Amino acid sequence: MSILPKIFPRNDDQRAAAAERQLINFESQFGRNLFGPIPKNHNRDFFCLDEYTWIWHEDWTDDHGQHHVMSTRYVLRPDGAIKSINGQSYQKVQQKETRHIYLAIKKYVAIVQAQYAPLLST
Amino acid sequence: MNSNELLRIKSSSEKAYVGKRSSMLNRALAHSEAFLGSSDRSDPEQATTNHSYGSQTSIPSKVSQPNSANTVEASATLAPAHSSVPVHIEQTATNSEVTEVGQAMKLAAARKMVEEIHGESLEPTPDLDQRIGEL
Repeated sequence: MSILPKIFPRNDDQRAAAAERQLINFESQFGRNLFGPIPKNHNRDFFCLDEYTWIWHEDWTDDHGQHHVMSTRYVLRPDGAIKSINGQSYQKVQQKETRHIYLAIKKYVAIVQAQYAPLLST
Repeated sequence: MNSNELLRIKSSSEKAYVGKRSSMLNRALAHSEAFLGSSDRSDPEQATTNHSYGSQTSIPSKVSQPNSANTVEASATLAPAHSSVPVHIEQTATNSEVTEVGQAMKLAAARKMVEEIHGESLEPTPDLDQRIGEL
């Protein structure tokens, strides 16, 4: 059965980009659950954008019906991690938060690789 | 795409996408070990303490209070995970195993975690594609 080409029957570059998005979507099903229950009316995603960048996205509607979005981009660098919230300027990530993102990355990769391993071993 | 659909992938070109992604994740993990790993080793006492507890994370409650003065900083702080998944990992692993979890974790344990997560939620996020495109 051919899954990805059926969904994305375009040129190679577009197909590759679309396949990557689909795999990110797949991975985020697990990533979003690393941080505990997701409150009602909240959408949460946590995923690896590239080998240096991780995204934590959360949007929700408050009691007044107002929609809120918080999208945090973590970038890993040799001297630590920096982050940008909702496109604002980057700031250095403090030690405690650094440790949390590090643990989250380890768990994310372990879980996702366990999903990919059976496919890649055949 | 769910796990079952993933496992139905047969063609080499489709597997290549998954393989490329898998390799990239390994590099991402290696970078995190190299760049951030010291945060886990510099304070082993704190790490042990935090590894062991499973209290409520502060993420959801603080995110839902967008008007508070410290919303941005507080909301962006990744609180310790409290679900059964992280607790399972940390309660069954020694400190050294935790440090090397990316390489040392047995697939069976990881699959068990996946099953636990499966039981919670595998709802798709239709607008994630759009958000990824905006990044």
